[in-house]
Amino acid sequence: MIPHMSNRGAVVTGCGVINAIATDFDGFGSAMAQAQSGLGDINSFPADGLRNPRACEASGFDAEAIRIKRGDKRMDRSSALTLAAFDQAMEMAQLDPATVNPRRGAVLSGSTLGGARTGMGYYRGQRAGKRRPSTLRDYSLHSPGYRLCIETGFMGPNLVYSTACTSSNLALATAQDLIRAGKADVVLVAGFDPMSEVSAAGFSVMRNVSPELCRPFDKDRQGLVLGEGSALMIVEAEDFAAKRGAPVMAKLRGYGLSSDAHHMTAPDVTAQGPMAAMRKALEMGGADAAQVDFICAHGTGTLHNDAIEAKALHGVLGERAAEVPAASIKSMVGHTLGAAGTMNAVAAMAARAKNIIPPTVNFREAEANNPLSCAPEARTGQPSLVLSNTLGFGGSNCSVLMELA
Amino acid sequence: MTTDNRIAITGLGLVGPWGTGLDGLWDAQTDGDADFTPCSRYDNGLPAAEAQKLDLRRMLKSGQLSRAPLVSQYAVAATHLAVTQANMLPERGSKNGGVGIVFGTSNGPGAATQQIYDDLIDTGPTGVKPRVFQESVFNAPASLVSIHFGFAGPIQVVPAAGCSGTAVLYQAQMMLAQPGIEAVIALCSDEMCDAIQKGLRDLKWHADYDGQGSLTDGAVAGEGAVAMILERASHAEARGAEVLAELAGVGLANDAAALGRPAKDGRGLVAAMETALEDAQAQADTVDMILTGSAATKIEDQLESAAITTVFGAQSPAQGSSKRSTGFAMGTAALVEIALAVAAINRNATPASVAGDTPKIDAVLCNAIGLNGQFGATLIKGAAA
Repeated sequence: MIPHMSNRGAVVTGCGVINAIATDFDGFGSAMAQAQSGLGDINSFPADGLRNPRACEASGFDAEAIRIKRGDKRMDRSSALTLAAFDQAMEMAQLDPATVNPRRGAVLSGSTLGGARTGMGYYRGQRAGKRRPSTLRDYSLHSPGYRLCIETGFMGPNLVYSTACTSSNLALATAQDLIRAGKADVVLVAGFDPMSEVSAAGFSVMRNVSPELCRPFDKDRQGLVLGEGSALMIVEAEDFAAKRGAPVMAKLRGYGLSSDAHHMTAPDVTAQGPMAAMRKALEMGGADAAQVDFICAHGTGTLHNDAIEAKALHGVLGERAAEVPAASIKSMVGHTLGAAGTMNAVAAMAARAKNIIPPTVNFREAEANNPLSCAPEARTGQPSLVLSNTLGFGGSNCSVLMELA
Repeated sequence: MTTDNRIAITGLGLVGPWGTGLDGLWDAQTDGDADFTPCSRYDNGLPAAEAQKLDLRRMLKSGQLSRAPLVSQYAVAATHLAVTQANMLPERGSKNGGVGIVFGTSNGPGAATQQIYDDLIDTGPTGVKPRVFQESVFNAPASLVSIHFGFAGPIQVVPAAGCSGTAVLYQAQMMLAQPGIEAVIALCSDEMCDAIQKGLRDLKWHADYDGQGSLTDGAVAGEGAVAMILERASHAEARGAEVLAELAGVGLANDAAALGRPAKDGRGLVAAMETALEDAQAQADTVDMILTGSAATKIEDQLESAAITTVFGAQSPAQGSSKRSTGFAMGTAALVEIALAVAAINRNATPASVAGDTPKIDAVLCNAIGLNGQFGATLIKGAAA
């Protein structure tokens, strides 16, 4: 039946992150404070023929250490990335999973092409007549989530969302619903996507990739650069967290979902879809647009996507859109695809911990139309009410409203 | 339950090996193995349940979708049939933010993905075709449905293998709780492709032919789409819509056991069935029939049997499924069983694929088993008088 949605709060009590500039939460905050860029030569596969042979790979991440720790040498990179973020988050939250009713613990993930590396590897072998079926058990998108269920003993839903860039924001949104509906007390929310030949080639031939740097919201931007990583958050019902005295890093206030119903790849120039998503997030969170003090933008760095997002922000925030501090972390970590939503959310919390507004590196000059307040260096600040956007391939939009502690 | 939290099913659209429609699915049910033949689109010699060809140009009066991947064509066709039945077919060019889409699939555009793999191996990155890449993402079929019908509400995509149908309904329940949502299209679609069938055979999950040409143990991959229109019962009543059945309860769980080795005691499915009954505020003894989720592999048969015994005891209701009649339609499989449940309730009869008879069919529990320990259960009930 249709659940009753109460006003039960959803709070974040721990998080973990792996990306091109950091391998943990504290390091992420420090790297953003220093405006580091993770852009480098692609090492995962031969990059010949790509529009840009550079991308933001998580080169500092030791996947092998995770495989050895779990005794699973064939573990897919998606699972390794997710488990590494999970280890960090559990330590931060000091959550003993045994204290959670197994059926009231859930895992929600977001990914676009999760097992693509394994799939590609298997298919290469299949064509060459060398098959290794055991690798396929980690191919499916929900494998990393299932590994989290095994680690925690959680027996509630293990769902993975795959709506391109909005995937893990959708997981964050659903976590709020599960808690408000009284279906779960603790939800692990993960976003993950590894660097893969498939995504690199696909975005390259679609000419979405910048041939040089990624400059979100800059008037001379030329496209995105790909990234990889994972960002995981432990989301608990506010009453559950309070009962165990857990430290609260942020409260999830609301979310908004919409679709453009317009075109598979081209955004709707009216920006109605993203505006609707942002307005719904504010409405659900009981907040006024004037209260938003940090915009953690989707900001891919592509010509159209940034223009539409900026137009939508101006539509929702009015003239304040040019003044409220904004940033696109994709300038530092690249576009982490399905992980983009949780990556943004963790970035906002990591920035708050360092009392900064994240930079938009490579940003030089704003557009004349619908300018946003981006800066190439970190600014001092204590963001509290954050609007975090994701705008996906295929016209799906998801905004999340977070109140940072 | 009050009228306001009950969920009415007001439209059903189906595409599959039986053609289109619920009558076709019902008539295709058999009391043993159907004659499965290999897919005509490629040659791997494996048994398959291929969907009948669609004439989308005639159905939609548009030729725009004829180049789209089959998974998207099936999705659009099933949605068209469902919204037509529900009397919700929108005017061309209109947009409606009150209609959301929840889409489930196992492999999504599998053939497009295989094409990308081939292009990468044969030619390198420059050989990948932009159109194929944009159609290869899991959300492409849902986006195409949104664009074609102008449904501008939320889009959610939950790939959950054989559990996709239950996952879709689980999300749909919550989406209907959102303000401004009038109806949700619960949609699943999957297409077969050569590489996936071979991969599943390599995993010993897929059936093959033995030396005598008989089917071995395992699943026979199928394909197709099911779209279901869900709305608040009060909303359906207010607009005078015919209610086909009610979505009474949904349960989703996992067994937290081991990758590739589900718990043989079926604890994940027990949790799913109990949660579904609890959600429906129903007792086990009110269930008239169970449509099972096993794809016909030994391990799935074993764990499902154990789980049913745990929940229902020795006297369990009549059981069966469509999988040996019309194949295991991958991500669509669970919604196929749910559609069959609606047909059984409306006919007050058990389908040919279900062993045993029962005096009345008013409450049907439909199980679902996915990969990696995912389990689902859905209770469908007849429309309240």
